[in-house]
Amino acid sequence: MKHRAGTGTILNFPGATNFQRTADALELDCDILVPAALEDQIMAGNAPRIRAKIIAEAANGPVTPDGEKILLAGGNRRDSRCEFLSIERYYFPMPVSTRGSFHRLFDDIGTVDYVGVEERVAKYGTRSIKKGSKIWGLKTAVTMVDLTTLEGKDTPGRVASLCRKAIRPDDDPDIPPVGAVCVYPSMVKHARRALGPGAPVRIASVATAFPSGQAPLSTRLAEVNAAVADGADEIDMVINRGAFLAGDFACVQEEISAVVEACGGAALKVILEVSELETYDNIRAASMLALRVLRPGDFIKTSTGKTSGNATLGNQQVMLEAIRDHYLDTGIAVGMKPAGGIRTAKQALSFLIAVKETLGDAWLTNRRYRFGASGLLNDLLRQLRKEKTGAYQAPYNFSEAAASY
Amino acid sequence: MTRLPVTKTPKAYVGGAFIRSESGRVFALNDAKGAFIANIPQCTRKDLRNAVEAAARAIPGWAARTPYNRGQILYRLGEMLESRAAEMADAIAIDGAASAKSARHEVAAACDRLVHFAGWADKYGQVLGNTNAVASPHFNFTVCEPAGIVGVIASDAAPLLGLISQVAAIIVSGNTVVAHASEMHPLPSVLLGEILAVSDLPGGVVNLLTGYRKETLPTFATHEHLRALDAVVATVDEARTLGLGAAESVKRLKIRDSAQLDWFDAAAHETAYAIRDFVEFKTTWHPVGA
Amino acid sequence: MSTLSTEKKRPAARIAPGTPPELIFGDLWEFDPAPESADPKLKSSYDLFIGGEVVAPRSGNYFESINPANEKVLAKIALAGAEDVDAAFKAAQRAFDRTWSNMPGRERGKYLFRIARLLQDRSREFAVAETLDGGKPIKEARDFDLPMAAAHFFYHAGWADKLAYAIPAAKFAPLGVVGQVIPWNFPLLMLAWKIAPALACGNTVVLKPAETTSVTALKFADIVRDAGLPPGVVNIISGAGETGARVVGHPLAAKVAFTGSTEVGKLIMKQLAGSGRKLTLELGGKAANIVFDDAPVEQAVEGVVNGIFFNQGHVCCAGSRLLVQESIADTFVTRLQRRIATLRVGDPLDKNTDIGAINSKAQLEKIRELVQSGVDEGAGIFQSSCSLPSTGYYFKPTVFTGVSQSHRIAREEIFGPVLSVLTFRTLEEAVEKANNTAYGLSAGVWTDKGSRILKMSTELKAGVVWANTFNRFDPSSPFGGYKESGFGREGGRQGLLDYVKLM
Repeated sequence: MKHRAGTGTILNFPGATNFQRTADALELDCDILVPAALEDQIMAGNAPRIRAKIIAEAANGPVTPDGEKILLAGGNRRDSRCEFLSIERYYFPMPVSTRGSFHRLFDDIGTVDYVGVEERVAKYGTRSIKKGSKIWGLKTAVTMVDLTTLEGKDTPGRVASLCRKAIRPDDDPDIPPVGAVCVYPSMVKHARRALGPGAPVRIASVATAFPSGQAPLSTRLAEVNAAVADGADEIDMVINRGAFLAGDFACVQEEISAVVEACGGAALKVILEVSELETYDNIRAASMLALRVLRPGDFIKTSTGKTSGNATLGNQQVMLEAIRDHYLDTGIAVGMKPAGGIRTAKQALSFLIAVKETLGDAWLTNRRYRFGASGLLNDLLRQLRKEKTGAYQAPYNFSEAAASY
Repeated sequence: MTRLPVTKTPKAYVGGAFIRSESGRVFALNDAKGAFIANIPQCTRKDLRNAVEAAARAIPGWAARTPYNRGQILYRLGEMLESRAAEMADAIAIDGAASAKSARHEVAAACDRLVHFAGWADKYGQVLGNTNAVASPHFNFTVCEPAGIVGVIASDAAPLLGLISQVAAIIVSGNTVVAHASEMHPLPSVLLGEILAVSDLPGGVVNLLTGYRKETLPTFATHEHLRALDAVVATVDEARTLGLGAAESVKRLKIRDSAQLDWFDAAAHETAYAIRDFVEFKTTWHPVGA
Repeated sequence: MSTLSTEKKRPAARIAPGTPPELIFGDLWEFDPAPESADPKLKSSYDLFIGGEVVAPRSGNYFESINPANEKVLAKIALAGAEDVDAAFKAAQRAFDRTWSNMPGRERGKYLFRIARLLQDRSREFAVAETLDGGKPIKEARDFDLPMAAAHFFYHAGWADKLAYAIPAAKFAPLGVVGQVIPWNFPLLMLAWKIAPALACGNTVVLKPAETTSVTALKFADIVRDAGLPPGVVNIISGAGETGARVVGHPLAAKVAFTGSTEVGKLIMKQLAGSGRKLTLELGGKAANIVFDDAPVEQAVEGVVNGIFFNQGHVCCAGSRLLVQESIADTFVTRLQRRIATLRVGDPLDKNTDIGAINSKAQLEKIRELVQSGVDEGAGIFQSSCSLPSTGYYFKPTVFTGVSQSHRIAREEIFGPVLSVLTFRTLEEAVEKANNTAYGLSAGVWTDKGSRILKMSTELKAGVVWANTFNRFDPSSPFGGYKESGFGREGGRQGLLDYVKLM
C-alpha cells in the first residue's frame, strides 16, 4: 500500500514480478490462487492452463461455469483435481449502464401482461381445499405468520404479549408457533427479552426509515445496525421508490447491497412497496433488481402495510415468477413475503396455492415464505378449531382478539 | 277498532341513502281532494351540490363496470319496478296526476323502457362506434365513453315514465345522474329511490331530489362539474337560463319543450340516439406494421 | 431493443456444480378430493320436447348416454325418428305463423331475458349435469359454460327490438323455422349460441343436440316452459346422425345451422346442394398460436396452455399449433413443460380438476391414432407425468416438438389435449406457416409490440384473432371461420344477419 501511495503504481514492488498481461498471472504454478477482482477471469479458454491447486475466490464470479467444469475435472493435470473455496455465492449486480432506462431494464428481464396475470391468479381462487389438505394448509400458514405490530403507540408490554401469542398461538398443543414477530427497531430488545434465548420464533425488525424510506442512507443503515445489535434475526427494509421511478436503478441496488452487508448474519426482507410501483412491469423490475443482490434465505416482500394498496394474488404472482426465474437462472433461492391485506384464512390458502403451483414444494416452508399479518393468525386458528370441532367459531374465543361481538 | 297505519316519511335518495333536505324544509303534498298525504323534502342548491359530490364518487366505479353488468342492473331495476307495479301506480294516481288505469299503463311502459335500455348496454357501442378506413397504414377506431355527471330536470307530465326515460338512457353508458324530479308529482320519484336501492345499482349513480324547480335550476345551469344536462322546460326563460349557465363550462345541453313531449311515444324515446346525446366519441390511431 | 434474430442477453448462470436447479411439484401438499355436491336433478330417461310438451318418441326407441368419467350409463335418451322430426318442424312452423313472427320484438326479447335469468338461477344444477354427461371439469362448466350460456341469451334478448340498427337501411324479415345441429364439446353453450339469435330475430327452432351429450338440452325444455315461451317456438329432438340428417333435410327448414366437424359440414353441404336452403357452418380448426420473442413470456405460456388444454382440447378454435420464435423456442418449451406439471387431470366432478375426461371412446381412439402418427413420423413427444384414473376415457396432456407442416399432427384436427410445436424465424414465416392450412377459424399472437399485433391481425386468415390472450368469448364478439372452418358468424351484430332474410 505504501509502495503504491509513494509511486502511484503497484508495479516494480521489490521482490515481485511484473506481468505484462494480467491473465498470465492466473497461470502461475502455485499452491493457492486468489482471484480477487473481476468476474469471468478463468474461462473455458484458459482453465486448462491453470496450475494452482486451490482457488480461493475473493471476487464475485471470477470463474465461469465452463471454466469451473474444466477445473473440477482436473484441467490438464493428470494427478489431482483442484479445490474451490468460495466466500459468497453472489451474483454481480446490474451494470450501471442500465441507469435511466426502464426500456432497457424491461428488455433484459421481460414485461408482464396485467390481464394475463389476473386471469392466472383467478384460477387459484377456484381451488377447493378440504379436510386433511385444509388442515395442513392452515397449520403451515400459522408457521409462516410474521406476527406484526407496527404502531406509534407500541410499548414493551404490547410487544411482550405479542411474543407470548407468537410462541403459543392457541391452547391446542398441535398448533405450532408462528414464524416470527415483526416490530419497530426500538422494540427489538423488548422482544428479545420476552422471547428469551433459544425461542422457536424469530425476531424481525423493520428498518431503513420504514415505511417511507425517506432518510439519509447513513441513518437508515444505523437503524439496521442497531436492530441487529439488539438481537433482530431478520430485517425488513424498504427500497428507494423515488430512485426507482426516476430510473436510478443502480442506486436502488447499491442501497440494498449496503443493507445486506449491515445485516451480517441476519436475513433481509426487501419491501418493494408495490402500491407505489403501480404496474406489474415495475414490480417485476424491482424484484429482479433486488433478487440479483440477495443471498439464499433472504426475501422480497410486497408492502409496508401502511398504504392503501397491499398484497394481492396479482402482485404476489409477479414476484413469485421473478423469484422462480432468478432461481432457475442462478440456483439462488430467495423467499417471498406478501404483507398487508391478508386477513382471512381463505385468502391465505389462495396465496399458498399460488406458491405451490408457481414455485413448488420447496417454497412451502417458513424458511422461504411468510405472511406479514396480525389479524390473520386468529382467523387461521378459528378455521383450525372449526375443522376439529365441526362448529363455526366466534372470534372472541381466541386470545388477543379485537372483536367483542 | 280499525288499526292505525304507519305513515311513510318521504325522503330524497342521494348517494345511496335516504335523506331530508339539508335546509330541513318541506312542502306539503295533498291528494286530489286536498287532504294531506305527506311532507316532501324541499331540496336546495346545497342538496344539489351534495348530490353532485355523491355522483362524482360513484362515477369511476360505474363507468368501469362491464356493459353486461350495467345491462343486468338495469334489467333488475325493471324486475324490481314490475314487482311493485301496483304500489307505484297508486303513487302516480294519488295526487291526481293520472287516472288509476293510466297510471298502471305508465308503470308498464316504464318497465318496458328499462328493459329496452338494459338491452342497449353492450350494443350501443357496436351501433354508434366503428372502425374508420383512414388512408394511411393505421388502425383507427372510434369508441363511446360516458360524458360524466349529468343533470336531469324532469317533467310533471308522466312523472315516472319521463324520469325513467331520461335516467336510463344516461346511465346505461356509465354516466351518473343528479335529477330534480317532478315538482308537482314527487311521490313516484320517492318510491323510485327505494326501488333503485334494491336493484344492485351502486349508491350515487342516480340521485333524486324533490322540491321546487326554480330553486335548483340556476345551479343545474352553472355547476361546472355537471358535464351535460337533460332538461324539460316549460318556458323560454328557463331554456335561456340553462343555456347561459351552460356556456360557462361548455355543457352539452338537451332541452325538451314540455308542451311537445309525449313520453308514451316509444318510437321517439326508445332509440340509440337517446344514449348518443350523453357519450363522447374517442378515436384512436395505431400503426399497422412489423 | 433486441432484433428478431438475436437471443436475449441473459446473465451467466451461477449454479452449484451438479444438477441445474429445478422446481419440485410433488406431493408435499396434496389436495383432498373436493367433489361438487350440488344435485343435477337428473331423470333416468329423457324424452323429446315438441310443441311445448315432453313427448315420447313415436318408435319408442331410446339410446344410452354414457358418463365418460366412469363409463357408466347416465340416462336413456329418446331417439327421434322421421315422424318425430316432422312433428317438431310442424309445431315450429305453426308457432312461427300464429304467434312468434307477429309478436313485437320487445315482447320476444322479454322471453329471452326470462330464459337468461332462469338459467342463472339453475346454473349449478345444469353445470353438474353438463359435467356428468360430457366429461368436462365442473370448474369449467360452472365458471364458463353456464354463465356464458346465460349471457348469450341476455345479450340477444336486447337485440330483439333493435334489429333495425343491426340491419340498417334494409327491409328484412325472419326466415321461419330454423334447423340446428350442435356438437358435444359445449353442449348447452352451443344450444344458447344457436337458439338465442334465432329467436331474437323472430325465427322458431328445431334443435338436435349431439348424441353423446343430450341431457342439458333436454333439461333446457324445463327452462323454456318455466319462461312461458309459446309452445313450438323451441323444439328439442335428440338422436344420432340419422336424426341430424333428417333435420338438415326437412322441407320446412328455411335455414340450417350446423356446428361440428368439417367432414360432416361437407356432407351437409352436399345434402343441401341445389335446394336453395340457407346454411351456416361452424366447423373445425387448426389454429396457430404465435409467440414472438418479445412476448410477455409467462402470460404467453399460460395462454398457450389455455389454448390447447381448456376443455381437454375439445375446442374448434383450440390453439393446437404453437408457432414459437426460434430464438426463444427452447426456453419457452421448457416453461411450458413446467406449467403442464401442475395441471390436474382426473375426475371431472372434482372441483380441483383442470382437465377432465375425453368425451367418448371414439374420440379417445381418434386422439390415440393421431398421437401415434406423430410418434411414427418422428416428432419429439413429451407427456405429463400425471396419473390417470383407471376407468373412464382420459388422455394425458401431450406436447410434440420438432413438428413441421408436413406432419399429420400439424395438419389434421386432433380435438384433444395435444399440442404441436413448430418454430419460425421472421414475421413473414410465421404468417406463412399459420395460414398454411385448409382451416381458418382462429389464431393467437403474442408480442409486446402493438403495430406487430395489428399487422399480424391483418395478415392472418382467421375469423378470430386473439392478441396476448386466447379462448376469450363474448356474446357481443362475432365468432366464425374462414375457408374450411365454415361460413357465417355467431354473436355480435354480424351474427344477427344470418338469421334474417333481406327483402
